[in-house]
Amino acid sequence: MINTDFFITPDNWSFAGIILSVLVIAAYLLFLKTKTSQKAYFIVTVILLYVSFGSPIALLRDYGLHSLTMLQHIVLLMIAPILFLKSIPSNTILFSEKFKLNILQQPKNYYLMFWWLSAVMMWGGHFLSAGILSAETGTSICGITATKDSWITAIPESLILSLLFIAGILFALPVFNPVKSKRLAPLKSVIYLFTACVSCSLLGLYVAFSASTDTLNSSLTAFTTLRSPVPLTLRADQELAGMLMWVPGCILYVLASVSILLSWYEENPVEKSETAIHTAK
Amino acid sequence: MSLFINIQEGEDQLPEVTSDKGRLLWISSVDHKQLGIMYLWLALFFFIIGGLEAMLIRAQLAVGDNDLISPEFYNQLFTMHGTTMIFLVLMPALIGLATYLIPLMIGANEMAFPRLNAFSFWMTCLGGFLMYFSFFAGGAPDAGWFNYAPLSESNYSSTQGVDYYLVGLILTGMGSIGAGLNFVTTILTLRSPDIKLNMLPLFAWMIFINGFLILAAFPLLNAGLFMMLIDRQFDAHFFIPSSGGSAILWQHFFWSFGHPEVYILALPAFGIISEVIPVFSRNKIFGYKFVAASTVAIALLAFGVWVHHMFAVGMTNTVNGFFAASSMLIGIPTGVKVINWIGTLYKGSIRMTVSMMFAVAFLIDFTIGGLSGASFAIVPIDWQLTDTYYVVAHIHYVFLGGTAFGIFAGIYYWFPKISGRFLSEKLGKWHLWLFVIGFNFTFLVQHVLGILGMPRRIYTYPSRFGSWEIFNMISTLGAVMMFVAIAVFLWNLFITLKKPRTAPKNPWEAWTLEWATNSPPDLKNFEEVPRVHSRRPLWDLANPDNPDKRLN
Repeated sequence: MINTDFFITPDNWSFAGIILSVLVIAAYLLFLKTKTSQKAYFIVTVILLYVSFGSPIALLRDYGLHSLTMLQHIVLLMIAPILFLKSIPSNTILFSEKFKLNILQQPKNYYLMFWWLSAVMMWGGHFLSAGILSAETGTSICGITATKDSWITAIPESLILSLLFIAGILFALPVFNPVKSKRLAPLKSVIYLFTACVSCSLLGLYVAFSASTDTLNSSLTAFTTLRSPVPLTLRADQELAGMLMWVPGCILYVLASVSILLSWYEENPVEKSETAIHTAK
Repeated sequence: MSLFINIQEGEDQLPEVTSDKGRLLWISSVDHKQLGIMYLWLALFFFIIGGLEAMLIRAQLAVGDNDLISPEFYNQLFTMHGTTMIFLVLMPALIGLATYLIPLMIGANEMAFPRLNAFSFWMTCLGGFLMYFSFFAGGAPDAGWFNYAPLSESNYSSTQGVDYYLVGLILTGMGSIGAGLNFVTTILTLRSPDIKLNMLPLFAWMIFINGFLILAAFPLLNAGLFMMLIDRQFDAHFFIPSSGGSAILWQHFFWSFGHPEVYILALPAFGIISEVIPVFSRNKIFGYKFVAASTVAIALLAFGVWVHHMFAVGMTNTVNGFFAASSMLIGIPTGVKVINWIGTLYKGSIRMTVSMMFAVAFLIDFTIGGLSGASFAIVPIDWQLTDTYYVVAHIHYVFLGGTAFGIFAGIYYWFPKISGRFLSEKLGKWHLWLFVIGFNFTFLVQHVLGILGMPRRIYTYPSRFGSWEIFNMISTLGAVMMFVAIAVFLWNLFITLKKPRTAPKNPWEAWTLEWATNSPPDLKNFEEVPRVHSRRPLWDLANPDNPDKRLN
């Protein structure tokens, strides 16, 4: 039975986080001239970040919920970065021609590096979080058993989450760069996203199906996270974590791929180049 | 010291074909058109064999307590019927049509790898005949077309039938992988310079995406087949639970191939329908980009739904729940296509040729198959109906009412191009009505049989189950109608092929490039490829004042 009191108790909502979120949104609205859709993307991004870091959902991980950690990872690595990039105006200094960091000028310079970086962060971040959870709760998660005084407990979870968000932005940059001319070609973008889809599918598959190889104990009620406001057996928790990464994670990239293709089918290189010349004038 | 020995090669290593007629020309051919035709003949040959097997199955089940054939032979029949129809009929027919048409549609004179093309055909051919040789070598495979372990392991299937199944499917799988690679490479590299990828005809686009599906799915099947072969021949135990293996692992291997295979068989049929409906409606396809993009969505999602074939193996609700959701989700892009085809028909100047009628029959019956498929995504319904005749009805609505109707639509549509002759429309309509009515008689009632609890693959049933007997008799009578329909089709083929070639280049006033060539095309498809500026190049040529939107 889900304990709803946990979610409506004011103490479980970070007040400082709310203030910070409002300030960030206000600064964005005041200082950046953007379209309405971009404003909406930015507000949703900030809300997602608040939910990941400062809401009762973030506190749920203290109860050892592996699936919750996975949800945080999906939001921070896969959803929030795309929305964030879509909210940034193309004339922002970081993305303009004036910014002299050459590597960011052409996606071919960096897309492979960023793909690998985010894949390593996704897998590494996940196993580090699983290790920390294991150390904190004394349970075996994804086959990882860490002791209470393990070195892994010295890593702050918020650092892992922040790095995941940054890795997510770097991953999404070749496809969702605010400057359209600096994006990968549409079909390359689809392949880029599809290969990422394979990577998150493999992680999801591993996490979901390795649950059944755990000891029988993990499926017993005595080993449920009984104190948790969202009680789940360890096995159900781990399967949920894997399936979250696999199915919604992949569908996100499928939807992004389809959206890219829908505009590509109507693309006319002649019109496109004429528009580019016109814009340059 | 070199690791390789340099062997001098003679200048004339291979026999040369000096005549444009005769068996050697066909056997040694690497021409995509001849190979396409051979694929189609192969599919037709096995369609007759698979159909006769189906007739025996239906004869056995027509009445209760029947012993027309032995139980052992019955097991072999349903196993070979399923395997034949999927791997030796639908796959070769679709690959054959694509092999024939893809170069023509993209303005190319050949496939990218002509020898690989021939290799793919002969592998398929060899695999098929090898599987059938098992009837003369101690007994055909008898563990069902998906060959579940441990039933298919040596302990329970001691004849060599399963070994023939494994080797046969490995060979046909290699052929399919070769074909998939060839399609992808041909479309990427041999398109006319005018044709951008977003200008491909929908049939070519579907085959392009299908190529990737084949390349990703068939290695999974072949890996599983090899592992089972090692189990059986070298006493390994990948899939034997009693010695540490996992029977469920076989199911994962098979269905992680098997569900994408459903789309491997459906996408080309979607492509055929997407060509036939616009031409005979005199309308542009409604929402090209949605039809094309939903194909990519289907291809990507196809690899995330296979566990819905395994809801009954005892996975947890968490896993089942997610696969149920993703299985329902994959229905959306398919539904989008159906809406697009109906949208194309809307306000069209419809010509009810046999090809078009098969396309309409496809729309109706494939949709029924899709809906019964969606019902299987609901886990409790799946638990109730799994391994009943409801599944048999569903699979036939998808593969026969869907893919096979699509193939028939394609055959009637492209027959003048391929042979230079028109199939008789009158006989074609007999074929169509007998087949469509017979099909629905046969399989619609099987949904009811499944709900009544009749398990699939049972040899016979007690005649006191009155309703089972009535429905089975209706089903058998429907099968007889389909049998007669195919006889009419064969007669149509026979008399048509004896007629002189009279078909013009573009008898249907179609718009894609294959219709710019002679009927049948010359050995070299194009001396000169027409300029292409849109997805309907022949429309643009015929209507210079009203061309389609330019895309290059």
